[in-house]
Amino acid sequence: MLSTDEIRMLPEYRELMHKRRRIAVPLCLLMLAAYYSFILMVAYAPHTLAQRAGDGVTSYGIIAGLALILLTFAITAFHVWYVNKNIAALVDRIQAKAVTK
Amino acid sequence: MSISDYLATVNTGAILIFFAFVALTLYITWWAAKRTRTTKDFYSAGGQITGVQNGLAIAGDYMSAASFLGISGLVFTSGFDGLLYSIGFLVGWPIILLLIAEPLRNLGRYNFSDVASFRFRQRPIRIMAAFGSLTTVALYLIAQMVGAGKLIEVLFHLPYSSAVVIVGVLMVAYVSFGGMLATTWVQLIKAVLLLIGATIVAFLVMAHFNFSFTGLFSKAVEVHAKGGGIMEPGGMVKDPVSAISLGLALMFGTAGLPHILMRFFTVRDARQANRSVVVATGFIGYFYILTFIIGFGAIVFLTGNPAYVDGTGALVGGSNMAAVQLADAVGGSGMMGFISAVAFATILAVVSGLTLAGASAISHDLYARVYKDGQATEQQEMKVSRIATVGLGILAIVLGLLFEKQNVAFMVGLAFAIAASANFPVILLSMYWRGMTTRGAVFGGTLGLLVAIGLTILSKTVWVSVLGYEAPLFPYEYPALFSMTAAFLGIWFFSVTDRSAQGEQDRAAFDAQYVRAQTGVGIEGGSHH
Repeated sequence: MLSTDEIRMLPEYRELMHKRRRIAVPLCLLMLAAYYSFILMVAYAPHTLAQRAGDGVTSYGIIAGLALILLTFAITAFHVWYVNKNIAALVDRIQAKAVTK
Repeated sequence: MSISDYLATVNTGAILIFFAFVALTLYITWWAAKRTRTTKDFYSAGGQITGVQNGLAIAGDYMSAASFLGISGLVFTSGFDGLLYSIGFLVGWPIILLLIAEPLRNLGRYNFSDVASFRFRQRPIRIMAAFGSLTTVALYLIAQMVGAGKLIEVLFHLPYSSAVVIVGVLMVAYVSFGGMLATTWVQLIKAVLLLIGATIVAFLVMAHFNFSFTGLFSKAVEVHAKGGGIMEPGGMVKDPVSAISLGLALMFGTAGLPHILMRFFTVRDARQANRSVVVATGFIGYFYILTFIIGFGAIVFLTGNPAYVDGTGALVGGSNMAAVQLADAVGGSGMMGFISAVAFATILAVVSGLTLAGASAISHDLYARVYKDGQATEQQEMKVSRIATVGLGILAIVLGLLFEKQNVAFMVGLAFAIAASANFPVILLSMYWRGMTTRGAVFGGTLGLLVAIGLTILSKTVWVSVLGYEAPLFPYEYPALFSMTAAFLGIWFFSVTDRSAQGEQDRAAFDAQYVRAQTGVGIEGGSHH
């Protein structure tokens, strides 16, 4: 078994850290920004959300709400797709190296 | 009254479907019991649950009676505000996926206190995490039991006390015999039934409007007392502080609920854990869109209809009955029966999960790790788990009976606030901040817990509505902004000022923990956690 320090020295490990940070931070910020903008609009600018989109009766608020639901799912789906494509193989290689040595 | 009189007043279809469901779940429990021998089986279904199955089970925990009936009821009364709650419950999931899911699965074995205590001194963290878990579970349980009793009273015309006892007995059976395997499958099946039922009702509503949302909304605006007001924010969040506070509680509370976090340990590895979150998020999101449609459908079909509303315009049975009544309006008594049975099923499934989480805190944390200092045998821990389950079942029944007349709406909110303020900060920082120490965790976490409880008691929901005082001492209804801040500050402060040897050890152990959390190296066959 490789020790913790040895694992941290592996180039795969560094690549892993880099890739993880690159995907997790922006997506987190996106989710937080989207949700809290929505919430703050509910608190500070409910009239904007009340405005009707087009000629119909549907308000911007409802559209924004439904869009947020879809965005939430999209973020999770995208993240897992990205991880499976770019990160999972790295983790497997690190695990393999860690036990063989 | 005689059986035939009773049957005449109540929906026989509902009763039959319900009995069929109970029979199925008892069969599952028997099947699961044969496969539940070890603590690993009992707490984490032997790690054999797939990502998709787990995702459905987690979604099931979220599609509780409270969200199905409560949110559609809220949409029925206020329109847009119902959407606020739905969104709040949903947006925590990406955060969990991005930050917590993998490390959680890689570090822990059975419940989140394994993770919270990973590099720290076991005893104090376990006690605190167990306490945080049990408080959250207890509050949630009381709210569910009272909700269950009232729901069954209305739907099946049974006395409240019988309803509570039935729920309690069934849940003890599921958990003590079948453990996590049984509760997962019960939750899964219920989720599927609920999704099918809700889809059919929503479909029937939309079909009436030729699948035009505008048509549905226009008609709803026309008939609702608030008119166009249902399309915009109502009075649910009155100011920015409340808005943010509620948002924080919903978003991060999700990441601190013990019975939800427990489900992450039922899958084989981190990859399956990730998949669970995507599947769960998808189904939960879909479900909340359905409840939105159902709420609006209820506005259109029930308002002004003397079969469903009384003289004042209020819904018969309360606004929580909106979804059930709508099912009757669009699908007849057969559909109503199905939805009623499923609503009852959701309660059974959720309380089982909660009880299991509570039993785990008692036997895995308090008994095996704290009292027995890690020296308990499998058999001993299993025995205590089962005793704890029965104890919790009895407690749940007693509390359900005691709180019958109380307004328990604040309890789920408080459960989320505590989860967000006591559990989540400890989990997150222990995973990512080297400088955190045992002392910081204990003091910070406890601070978050006390502030959450204290501010809730001083707020309108308890101080005025329950205790009967004139004006609340804490002006906001949601404490999360303050209690979470207190927790994070507390953890930070008590960690950086910690110069003890234990503190040094805690910081030094961070690297090994972090590597394991990020790569999964060392999980199976590693330290007996």
